Amino acid sequence: MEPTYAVVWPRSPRGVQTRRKADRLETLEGARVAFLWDYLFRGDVLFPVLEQELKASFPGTEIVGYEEFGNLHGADEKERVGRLGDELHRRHVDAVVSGMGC
Amino acid sequence: MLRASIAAEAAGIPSVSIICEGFDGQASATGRGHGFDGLPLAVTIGHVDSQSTEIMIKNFVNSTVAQVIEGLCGADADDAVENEEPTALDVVVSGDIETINEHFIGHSWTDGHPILPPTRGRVEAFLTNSGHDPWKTLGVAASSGRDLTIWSIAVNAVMAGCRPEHLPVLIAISEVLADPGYGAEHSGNTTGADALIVVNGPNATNLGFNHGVGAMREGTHANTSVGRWLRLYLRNVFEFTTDQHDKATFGNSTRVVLAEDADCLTEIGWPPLSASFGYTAGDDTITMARMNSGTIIGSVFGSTPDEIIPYLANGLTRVAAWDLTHVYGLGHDQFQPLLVISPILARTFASAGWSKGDVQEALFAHARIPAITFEKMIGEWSNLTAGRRRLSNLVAEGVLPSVFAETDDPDRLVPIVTGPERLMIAVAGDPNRTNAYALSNDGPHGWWTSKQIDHTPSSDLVCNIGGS
Repeated sequence: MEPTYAVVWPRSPRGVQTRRKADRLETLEGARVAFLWDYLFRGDVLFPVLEQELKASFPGTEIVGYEEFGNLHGADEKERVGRLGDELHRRHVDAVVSGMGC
Repeated sequence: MLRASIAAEAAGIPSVSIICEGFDGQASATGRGHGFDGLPLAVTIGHVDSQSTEIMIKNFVNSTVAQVIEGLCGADADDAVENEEPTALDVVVSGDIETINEHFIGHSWTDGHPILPPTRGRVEAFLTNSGHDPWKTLGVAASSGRDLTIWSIAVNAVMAGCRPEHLPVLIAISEVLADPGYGAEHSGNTTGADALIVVNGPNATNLGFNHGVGAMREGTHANTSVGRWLRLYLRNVFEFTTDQHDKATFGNSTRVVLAEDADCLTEIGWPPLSASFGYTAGDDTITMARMNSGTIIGSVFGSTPDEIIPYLANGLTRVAAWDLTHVYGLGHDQFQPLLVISPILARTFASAGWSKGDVQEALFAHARIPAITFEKMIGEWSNLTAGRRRLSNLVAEGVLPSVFAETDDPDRLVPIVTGPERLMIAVAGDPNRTNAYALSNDGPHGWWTSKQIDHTPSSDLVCNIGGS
């Protein structure tokens, strides 16, 4: 007869606590929206298009361009992303659009 | 860019992440690994790099913009509730060897090869003489948010067929994975690099690591099982499976551990690879980086350094392609390729009085490509260094050294790295064959990191009474 085995789980528990997402906005009208870019995959073309489209739908939207934050990917990503929360608050940002994940 | 969105959400600012079609699974898994389930995504139709500008903009306006608005202003979606998972000691399946393996294949818990069943008894036996607390955590997997526990290391080690004496090596590898500088969270990027583990030190041979014939081929138990363990650990604890974090377009097969030839290094007076990271030949270490691609430099002909350097340097230029974006772009001064030379080639250099530093200097002088080719690689044929940057501009900005812009001639020869010390050299393989192997590293996506292997038994479980 073949031997049988009782085996354990090869994964491990998640140490991170589940967190609640930020509340969504009522509208983008009058909101300050920051663009965050990893300087990859044609964001230089698409973010200006997005700005144009958002302002067409919500004329009072204010955009904080990705140039204000620099490249958020690569060698110093951890430092830059680590201080991003404070930087967004300092710039009174209400919402964030980040890209490009491709 | 999910990590930027995660930082915003953690600061109480709503976010939406623009991703290309096909990245939904990885994006969701990344959010979950940081405690956020269901972060809003705005998905492009297809991949932006394969579309004309006109079509890309049309698709973006017609499909993606509405998702951006919905993601920022839509009703607050309920945060998903995670399904209850087993605990470490729960039996997840019982049965014969086929049943166990089918169950593990079905749950994506294996690399496709049969595993040794990780029974509680086997895992406990694996740890018995180590002195380690099984529930000690070495860190958190940056991709999945799972704990790097000694127990989980041991479970996957049993599955891979490792021996208990390999545990200190596995712990050192886990410490690399936990090191933020290594960037383990990038282990599933689309270009599909896989880690190379290099072992150095006086105990490497005692542990059974092969540094000779077939040094990078499966077949030697220590090299193969430890290399396999890393692949299993990345799957099961870091969640690098193709339905979660692994977005490798092709991927590489698991790499076996590479051991350097310590006897040859001692004989010729060269330091080991680990010396580039602050260790000495007397230290047991592992050094890791993720490698994109490699090429064999076959049948090197010549009896003097001057005769063999040009061919070895040429091999390095042949693995320096889109990866040059790690000189500047995706990485910054993080292209650091590895040249593995056989002992007979190392002895050719040493017998002429060349140190390893001399070899690095000569390779730096010879491993050159036309500037126009470098610029096409990073900003025309690929799109990984934004803005179609010219090397002369990068030198003028001070982000690259002047050697990249000594003239304005687009056909001038420029180096593939910023300095000689950026060229890594290891000595291994058949001692009597004149071959070498060049491998390109993936910059910050598995950045060169070295850790010491501690073979002393842990005192985690020693009862310490009265502070004595």
